[in-house]
Amino acid sequence: MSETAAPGPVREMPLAEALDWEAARLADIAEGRAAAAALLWSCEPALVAPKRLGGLPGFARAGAAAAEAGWPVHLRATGGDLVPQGPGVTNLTLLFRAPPGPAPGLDDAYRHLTAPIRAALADLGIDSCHGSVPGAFCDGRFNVTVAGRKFAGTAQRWRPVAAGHAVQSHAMMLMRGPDPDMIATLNRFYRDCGIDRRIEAAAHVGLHDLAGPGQADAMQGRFLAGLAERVLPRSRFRARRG
Amino acid sequence: MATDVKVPQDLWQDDSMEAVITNWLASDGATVKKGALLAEIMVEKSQFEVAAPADGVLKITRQADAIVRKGDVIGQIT
Repeated sequence: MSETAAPGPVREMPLAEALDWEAARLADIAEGRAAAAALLWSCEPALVAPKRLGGLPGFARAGAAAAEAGWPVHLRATGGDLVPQGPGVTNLTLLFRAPPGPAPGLDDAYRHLTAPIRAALADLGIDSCHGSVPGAFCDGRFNVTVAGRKFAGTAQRWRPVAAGHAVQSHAMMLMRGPDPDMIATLNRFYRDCGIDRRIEAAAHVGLHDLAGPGQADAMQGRFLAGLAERVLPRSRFRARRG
Repeated sequence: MATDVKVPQDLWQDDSMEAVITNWLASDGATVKKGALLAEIMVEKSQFEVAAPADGVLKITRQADAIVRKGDVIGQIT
Protein backbone atom coordinates (compact mmCIF):
# COMPACT_ATOMS: atom_id res chain seq x y z
CA MET A 1 0.00 0.00 0.00
CA SER A 2 1.41 3.37 -0.93
CA GLU A 3 1.45 6.23 1.52
CA THR A 4 1.93 9.82 0.51
CA ALA A 5 4.23 12.16 2.39
CA ALA A 6 1.61 14.90 2.43
CA PRO A 7 1.77 16.95 5.62
CA GLY A 8 -1.02 16.65 8.13
CA PRO A 9 -2.92 13.72 9.49
CA VAL A 10 -4.96 12.85 6.39
CA ARG A 11 -3.65 10.14 4.11
CA GLU A 12 -4.35 10.88 0.45
CA MET A 13 -4.82 7.60 -1.35
CA PRO A 14 -6.75 6.07 -4.24
CA LEU A 15 -10.29 5.15 -3.22
CA ALA A 16 -9.82 1.50 -4.17
CA GLU A 17 -6.78 1.36 -1.91
CA ALA A 18 -8.72 2.89 0.98
CA LEU A 19 -11.51 0.34 0.59
CA ASP A 20 -8.93 -2.46 0.47
CA TRP A 21 -7.27 -1.07 3.62
CA GLU A 22 -10.63 -1.12 5.43
CA ALA A 23 -11.36 -4.69 4.36
CA ALA A 24 -7.89 -5.88 5.39
CA ARG A 25 -8.04 -4.22 8.82
CA LEU A 26 -11.55 -5.63 9.45
CA ALA A 27 -10.18 -9.08 8.67
CA ASP A 28 -7.20 -8.43 10.99
CA ILE A 29 -9.54 -7.59 13.84
CA ALA A 30 -11.93 -10.46 13.12
CA GLU A 31 -9.03 -12.91 13.08
CA GLY A 32 -7.33 -11.51 16.17
CA ARG A 33 -4.28 -9.98 14.48
CA ALA A 34 -5.16 -6.47 15.66
CA ALA A 35 -7.34 -4.94 18.36
CA ALA A 36 -8.19 -1.67 16.65
CA ALA A 37 -7.27 0.55 13.72
CA ALA A 38 -8.01 4.10 12.60
CA LEU A 39 -7.41 6.11 9.46
CA LEU A 40 -8.13 9.61 8.24
CA TRP A 41 -8.14 9.58 4.46
CA SER A 42 -9.13 11.42 1.33
CA CYS A 43 -9.30 10.29 -2.28
CA GLU A 44 -10.05 11.27 -5.87
CA PRO A 45 -13.56 12.25 -7.05
CA ALA A 46 -15.83 9.21 -7.15
CA LEU A 47 -19.20 7.93 -6.04
CA VAL A 48 -19.31 5.14 -3.49
CA ALA A 49 -22.35 2.90 -3.27
CA PRO A 50 -23.20 0.06 -0.90
CA LYS A 51 -23.01 -3.33 -2.56
CA ARG A 52 -26.77 -3.80 -2.54
CA LEU A 53 -27.19 -0.98 -5.10
CA GLY A 54 -24.96 -2.95 -7.47
CA GLY A 55 -27.81 -5.38 -8.01
CA LEU A 56 -30.28 -2.81 -9.33
CA PRO A 57 -31.23 -3.21 -13.00
CA GLY A 58 -30.21 0.34 -13.86
CA PHE A 59 -26.92 0.27 -11.95
CA ALA A 60 -24.65 -0.43 -14.93
CA ARG A 61 -26.15 2.39 -16.97
CA ALA A 62 -26.10 4.78 -14.01
CA GLY A 63 -22.50 3.86 -13.27
CA ALA A 64 -21.43 4.41 -16.86
CA ALA A 65 -23.07 7.83 -16.99
CA ALA A 66 -21.49 8.87 -13.68
CA ALA A 67 -18.06 7.69 -14.82
CA GLU A 68 -18.42 9.64 -18.06
CA ALA A 69 -19.18 12.73 -15.99
CA GLY A 70 -15.96 12.21 -14.01
CA TRP A 71 -17.44 10.31 -11.07
CA PRO A 72 -16.53 6.61 -11.34
CA VAL A 73 -18.59 4.40 -9.04
CA HIS A 74 -17.09 2.05 -6.44
CA LEU A 75 -18.89 -0.41 -4.17
CA ARG A 76 -18.23 -0.50 -0.44
CA ALA A 77 -18.87 -2.97 2.38
CA THR A 78 -20.67 -0.74 4.87
CA GLY A 79 -24.38 0.01 4.79
CA GLY A 80 -26.05 3.24 3.85
CA ASP A 81 -26.51 4.81 0.47
CA LEU A 82 -24.69 6.58 -2.36
CA VAL A 83 -22.07 9.14 -1.27
CA PRO A 84 -19.65 11.36 -3.18
CA GLN A 85 -15.92 11.37 -2.52
CA GLY A 86 -13.23 13.80 -3.57
CA PRO A 87 -10.79 16.44 -2.35
CA GLY A 88 -13.55 18.26 -0.45
CA VAL A 89 -14.31 15.18 1.65
CA THR A 90 -12.28 13.74 4.51
CA ASN A 91 -13.08 10.26 5.78
CA LEU A 92 -12.61 8.73 9.21
CA THR A 93 -12.55 4.95 9.50
CA LEU A 94 -12.48 3.33 12.95
CA LEU A 95 -12.25 -0.42 13.43
CA PHE A 96 -12.46 -2.28 16.72
CA ARG A 97 -13.74 -5.40 18.39
CA ALA A 98 -17.07 -5.24 20.22
CA PRO A 99 -17.73 -7.73 23.00
CA PRO A 100 -20.74 -10.09 22.77
CA GLY A 101 -24.13 -9.00 24.03
CA PRO A 102 -26.50 -6.19 23.30
CA ALA A 103 -24.13 -3.47 24.52
CA PRO A 104 -22.27 -1.82 22.98
CA GLY A 105 -24.72 -1.81 20.11
CA LEU A 106 -25.34 0.20 17.03
CA ASP A 107 -25.97 3.49 18.77
CA ASP A 108 -22.88 3.13 20.93
CA ALA A 109 -20.70 2.41 17.91
CA TYR A 110 -22.09 5.46 16.13
CA ARG A 111 -21.43 7.65 19.16
CA HIS A 112 -17.91 6.21 19.42
CA LEU A 113 -17.40 7.39 15.83
CA THR A 114 -19.06 10.79 16.05
CA ALA A 115 -17.83 11.86 19.51
CA PRO A 116 -14.32 12.83 18.34
CA ILE A 117 -15.77 14.61 15.30
CA ARG A 118 -18.13 16.62 17.44
CA ALA A 119 -15.41 17.37 19.97
CA ALA A 120 -13.10 18.65 17.23
CA LEU A 121 -15.92 20.86 15.96
CA ALA A 122 -16.57 22.11 19.49
CA ASP A 123 -12.89 23.10 19.75
CA LEU A 124 -13.65 25.54 16.93
CA GLY A 125 -16.76 26.85 18.66
CA ILE A 126 -19.11 24.91 16.36
CA ASP A 127 -22.14 23.26 17.96
CA SER A 128 -23.26 19.99 16.37
CA CYS A 129 -25.76 17.25 16.99
CA HIS A 130 -27.05 13.98 15.50
CA GLY A 131 -30.02 13.87 13.21
CA SER A 132 -31.63 13.07 9.91
CA VAL A 133 -31.61 15.81 7.25
CA PRO A 134 -34.20 15.54 4.46
CA GLY A 135 -32.56 16.05 1.08
CA ALA A 136 -29.11 14.99 2.27
CA PHE A 137 -27.27 12.19 0.54
CA CYS A 138 -27.03 8.92 2.49
CA ASP A 139 -29.31 10.34 5.16
CA GLY A 140 -29.44 8.74 8.58
CA ARG A 141 -30.16 9.26 12.25
CA PHE A 142 -26.47 9.50 13.07
CA ASN A 143 -25.51 12.23 10.67
CA VAL A 144 -23.43 14.90 12.36
CA THR A 145 -25.35 18.08 11.69
CA VAL A 146 -24.51 21.75 12.13
CA ALA A 147 -27.39 24.24 12.16
CA GLY A 148 -29.69 21.56 10.77
CA ARG A 149 -27.47 20.74 7.79
CA LYS A 150 -25.46 17.60 7.22
CA PHE A 151 -21.75 17.89 7.93
CA ALA A 152 -20.90 14.18 8.22
CA GLY A 153 -22.54 10.91 7.23
CA THR A 154 -21.90 7.63 8.98
CA ALA A 155 -22.20 3.89 8.33
CA GLN A 156 -21.01 0.62 9.84
CA ARG A 157 -20.25 -3.01 9.11
CA TRP A 158 -20.42 -5.75 11.77
CA ARG A 159 -18.78 -9.15 11.36
CA PRO A 160 -19.47 -11.94 13.86
CA VAL A 161 -16.38 -13.48 15.47
CA ALA A 162 -15.94 -16.12 18.17
CA ALA A 163 -16.32 -13.60 20.99
CA GLY A 164 -18.37 -10.66 19.83
CA HIS A 165 -18.04 -8.71 16.61
CA ALA A 166 -15.42 -6.97 14.52
CA VAL A 167 -16.81 -3.52 13.75
CA GLN A 168 -15.94 -1.12 10.95
CA SER A 169 -17.38 2.37 11.29
CA HIS A 170 -16.97 5.14 8.79
CA ALA A 171 -17.72 8.84 8.62
CA MET A 172 -17.43 11.04 5.56
CA MET A 173 -17.02 14.68 6.52
CA LEU A 174 -17.59 17.63 4.24
CA MET A 175 -14.67 20.04 4.24
CA ARG A 176 -16.44 21.85 1.39
CA GLY A 177 -20.15 21.78 0.64
CA PRO A 178 -21.19 19.78 -2.41
CA ASP A 179 -20.86 21.62 -5.72
CA PRO A 180 -23.64 21.65 -8.35
CA ASP A 181 -21.87 19.11 -10.55
CA MET A 182 -21.69 16.65 -7.67
CA ILE A 183 -25.38 17.09 -6.83
CA ALA A 184 -26.43 16.75 -10.46
CA THR A 185 -24.42 13.54 -10.76
CA LEU A 186 -25.99 12.05 -7.64
CA ASN A 187 -29.50 12.89 -8.80
CA ARG A 188 -28.88 11.54 -12.27
CA PHE A 189 -27.52 8.33 -10.76
CA TYR A 190 -30.71 7.82 -8.74
CA ARG A 191 -32.85 8.62 -11.76
CA ASP A 192 -30.95 6.12 -13.93
CA CYS A 193 -31.37 3.48 -11.21
CA GLY A 194 -35.11 4.15 -11.03
CA ILE A 195 -34.87 5.40 -7.44
CA ASP A 196 -37.23 8.20 -6.46
CA ARG A 197 -34.82 10.35 -4.42
CA ARG A 198 -33.64 13.92 -4.81
CA ILE A 199 -30.54 15.35 -3.17
CA GLU A 200 -30.46 19.05 -2.32
CA ALA A 201 -27.20 21.00 -1.99
CA ALA A 202 -28.71 23.20 0.72
CA ALA A 203 -29.13 20.19 3.01
CA HIS A 204 -25.36 20.05 3.50
CA VAL A 205 -22.71 22.22 5.07
CA GLY A 206 -18.97 22.11 4.59
CA LEU A 207 -16.46 23.23 7.18
CA HIS A 208 -15.36 26.02 4.85
CA ASP A 209 -18.93 27.39 4.89
CA LEU A 210 -18.56 27.90 8.63
CA ALA A 211 -15.30 29.82 8.49
CA GLY A 212 -14.82 33.55 8.44
CA PRO A 213 -13.30 35.28 5.40
CA GLY A 214 -9.82 33.95 4.70
CA GLN A 215 -10.04 31.47 7.58
CA ALA A 216 -11.24 28.31 5.81
CA ASP A 217 -7.92 26.54 5.32
CA ALA A 218 -6.72 27.36 8.83
CA MET A 219 -10.01 26.16 10.30
CA GLN A 220 -9.81 22.91 8.34
CA GLY A 221 -6.26 22.39 9.57
CA ARG A 222 -7.25 22.93 13.20
CA PHE A 223 -10.26 20.65 12.87
CA LEU A 224 -8.27 17.80 11.34
CA ALA A 225 -5.44 18.19 13.85
CA GLY A 226 -7.94 18.10 16.72
CA LEU A 227 -9.64 15.05 15.25
CA ALA A 228 -6.36 13.25 14.63
CA GLU A 229 -5.24 13.87 18.20
CA ARG A 230 -8.36 12.05 19.34
CA VAL A 231 -8.46 9.09 16.96
CA LEU A 232 -5.02 8.35 15.55
CA PRO A 233 -2.21 6.62 17.45
CA ARG A 234 -0.05 9.46 18.72
CA SER A 235 3.19 8.17 17.25
CA ARG A 236 1.67 8.01 13.78
CA PHE A 237 0.15 11.46 13.99
CA ARG A 238 3.42 12.98 15.22
CA ALA A 239 5.26 11.35 12.34
CA ARG A 240 2.81 12.81 9.85
CA ARG A 241 3.00 16.26 11.36
CA GLY A 242 6.77 16.16 11.17
CA MET B 1 -31.88 -32.33 11.72
CA ALA B 2 -32.24 -28.79 10.41
CA THR B 3 -30.42 -25.83 12.00
CA ASP B 4 -32.13 -22.48 11.67
CA VAL B 5 -30.24 -19.53 10.22
CA LYS B 6 -31.47 -16.63 12.33
CA VAL B 7 -31.07 -12.91 12.54
CA PRO B 8 -28.98 -12.76 15.73
CA GLN B 9 -30.64 -11.50 18.90
CA ASP B 10 -27.74 -9.35 20.05
CA LEU B 11 -27.04 -7.13 17.06
CA TRP B 12 -29.09 -4.16 18.16
CA GLN B 13 -31.00 -3.14 21.23
CA ASP B 14 -34.38 -1.92 19.99
CA ASP B 15 -36.72 -4.94 19.68
CA SER B 16 -39.04 -3.07 17.32
CA MET B 17 -36.32 -2.14 14.84
CA GLU B 18 -36.68 -3.70 11.40
CA ALA B 19 -33.83 -4.69 9.10
CA VAL B 20 -33.67 -5.72 5.48
CA ILE B 21 -31.86 -8.68 3.95
CA THR B 22 -29.66 -6.87 1.46
CA ASN B 23 -27.80 -9.81 0.00
CA TRP B 24 -27.52 -13.58 0.10
CA LEU B 25 -23.87 -14.52 -0.43
CA ALA B 26 -24.61 -18.24 -0.66
CA SER B 27 -27.13 -19.77 -3.03
CA ASP B 28 -30.19 -21.78 -2.16
CA GLY B 29 -29.09 -25.42 -2.14
CA ALA B 30 -25.40 -24.61 -1.67
CA THR B 31 -23.24 -26.66 0.67
CA VAL B 32 -21.87 -24.36 3.36
CA LYS B 33 -19.39 -24.62 6.21
CA LYS B 34 -20.05 -23.46 9.76
CA GLY B 35 -18.87 -19.86 10.12
CA ALA B 36 -19.07 -19.06 6.42
CA LEU B 37 -20.61 -15.72 5.50
CA LEU B 38 -24.16 -16.41 4.27
CA ALA B 39 -26.05 -13.15 4.13
CA GLU B 40 -25.96 -9.46 4.88
CA ILE B 41 -28.70 -7.55 6.62
CA MET B 42 -28.91 -3.79 7.03
CA VAL B 43 -30.41 -1.63 9.73
CA GLU B 44 -29.67 2.01 10.52
CA LYS B 45 -27.07 2.19 7.71
CA SER B 46 -25.21 -0.68 9.35
CA GLN B 47 -24.43 -3.84 7.45
CA PHE B 48 -24.41 -7.03 9.54
CA GLU B 49 -22.93 -10.28 8.35
CA VAL B 50 -24.84 -13.49 9.11
CA ALA B 51 -22.66 -16.59 9.38
CA ALA B 52 -23.60 -20.25 8.92
CA PRO B 53 -24.41 -21.85 12.29
CA ALA B 54 -23.61 -25.37 11.02
CA ASP B 55 -22.20 -27.38 8.13
CA GLY B 56 -24.73 -28.55 5.57
CA VAL B 57 -26.98 -27.59 2.70
CA LEU B 58 -28.57 -24.15 2.81
CA LYS B 59 -32.27 -23.58 2.22
CA ILE B 60 -33.17 -19.91 1.94
CA THR B 61 -36.57 -19.15 3.46
CA ARG B 62 -36.51 -15.34 3.34
CA GLN B 63 -35.34 -13.73 0.13
CA ALA B 64 -33.25 -10.59 -0.38
CA ASP B 65 -35.19 -7.38 0.33
CA ALA B 66 -37.32 -9.16 2.96
CA ILE B 67 -37.93 -7.18 6.14
CA VAL B 68 -36.76 -9.01 9.25
CA ARG B 69 -36.42 -8.52 12.99
CA LYS B 70 -34.11 -9.87 15.65
CA GLY B 71 -34.43 -13.64 15.95
CA ASP B 72 -36.27 -14.17 12.68
CA VAL B 73 -35.45 -17.39 10.80
CA ILE B 74 -34.16 -16.56 7.32
CA GLY B 75 -32.94 -19.99 6.26
CA GLN B 76 -32.20 -23.55 7.31
CA ILE B 77 -29.17 -25.80 7.06
CA THR B 78 -29.71 -29.56 6.79
